[in-house]
Amino acid sequence: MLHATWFVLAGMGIVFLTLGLLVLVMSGLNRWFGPGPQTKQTKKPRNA
Amino acid sequence: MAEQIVEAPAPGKILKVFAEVGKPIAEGDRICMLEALKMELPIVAPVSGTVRALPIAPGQSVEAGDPLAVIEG
Amino acid sequence: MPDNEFLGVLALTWQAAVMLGLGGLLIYLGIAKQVEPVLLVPIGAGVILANIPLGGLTEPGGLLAVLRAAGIETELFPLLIFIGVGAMIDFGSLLERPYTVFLGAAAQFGIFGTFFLAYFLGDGGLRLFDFSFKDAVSIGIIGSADGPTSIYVATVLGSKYAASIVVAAYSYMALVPIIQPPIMRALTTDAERRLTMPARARGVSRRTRVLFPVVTIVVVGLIAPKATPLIGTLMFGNLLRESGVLERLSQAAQNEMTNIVTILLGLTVGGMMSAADFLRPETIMIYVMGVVAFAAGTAAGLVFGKVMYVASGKRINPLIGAAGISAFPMCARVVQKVGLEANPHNHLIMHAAGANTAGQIASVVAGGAALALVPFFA
Repeated sequence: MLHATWFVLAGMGIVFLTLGLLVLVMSGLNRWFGPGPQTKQTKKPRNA
Repeated sequence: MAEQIVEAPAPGKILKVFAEVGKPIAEGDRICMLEALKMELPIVAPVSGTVRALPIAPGQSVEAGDPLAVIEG
Repeated sequence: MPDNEFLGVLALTWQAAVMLGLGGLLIYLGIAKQVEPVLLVPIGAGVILANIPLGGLTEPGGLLAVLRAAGIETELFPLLIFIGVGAMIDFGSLLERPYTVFLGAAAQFGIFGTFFLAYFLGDGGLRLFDFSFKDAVSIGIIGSADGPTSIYVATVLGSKYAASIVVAAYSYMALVPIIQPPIMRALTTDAERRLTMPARARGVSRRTRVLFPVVTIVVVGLIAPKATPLIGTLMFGNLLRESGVLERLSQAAQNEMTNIVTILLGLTVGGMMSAADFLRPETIMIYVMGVVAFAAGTAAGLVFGKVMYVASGKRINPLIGAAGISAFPMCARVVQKVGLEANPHNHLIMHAAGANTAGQIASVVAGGAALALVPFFA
């Protein structure tokens, strides 16, 4: 059962690693390509 | 007199409007019914007071954060 | 020509008769009780077709055998379905709240926890059931709450229980509104459930929406390459949706293609349920494990939600963690319902939808991770 434990840990590790990277990517996309004044978004931020 | 703006919690469509402008409303009374992700969300008044503005109509689409009602409490 | 080649009723064994009854039950559940009718009715019909003695549909060259070889053993059907699923999902609520990704990740513990238990009951420990390491992984995948991923992983691993696993995965998805709320109430306090979260989100630009599927394929593919077929088809479908210039293809993927493949997939999966494979104690255990998988995934999501609740200074409602398992959009709706019960001003649906779509990606990654790791451990 020890190798099963390692399997569980490795599996969850890969899941968190991959999705953690995805969060970085998403934050990056939001930052660089976030809704600007010329995008389709109809709503403007309050301070705009 | 504090004015409270009730905002749409999710993008969706207004199904029904229960509140009326100028009429008093009690905390917990339904303002409108919003449909989002094929679910009906009852929007209720956060405070008791008078409905000052109601910029919505049945069938209208709203974005998250759009004002649904202004209540003066 | 011998008599028993002519009259099917003479060749009918009691096992086959039970399977015919089971097929009828699935059709009944689908039509009368509206339990995932889109899948259970074709599956039920497939079970009946496969178990008519001397019908020959599962013999080499028979319809069900041909479909199985062409669509399941090649993993073609689940991948085509995923193109449609990708075209149906709006990842906007996730892109607005990237942190919800972690809730989807945490909920995948349902897969691995259930694997551990199944393996312990099987070859790894007690040997009460005939569960090999690969069978246990396939059973755990029920916890992905994702039909196509379940089919894909179970067939790639060659589990003899693939058909039961798929039926369990789809049936429990319909039972999410029953399985989840008690766990959600047990693991959270009233004060936590009452917590409202801001409705206003920053919004996501079209460029982000278009880039997201492409970047996701690359990121996930480079780390968990075995997930590439699943994530690739899912995100290709999403690209059709978000590109803005392929409305026709997006609609075709969501409707015509998904409908046709669903018919073929359901029928074929039903056709895989032969009496010899199905009527054994392991089948009942797989159904028990299915509940464990959904419950463990829900619990893990909630626990991670509580961690985020504390870490965020009580700004994240832990309930949205329950939406980390990928049954979309059922889980998001359940979260909305339970949150509203605690506080009539509490609308968590968009936050839950973020976690829910994150769960969709996470379950694919978990499936790919499991496939990549099996050769090292089994």
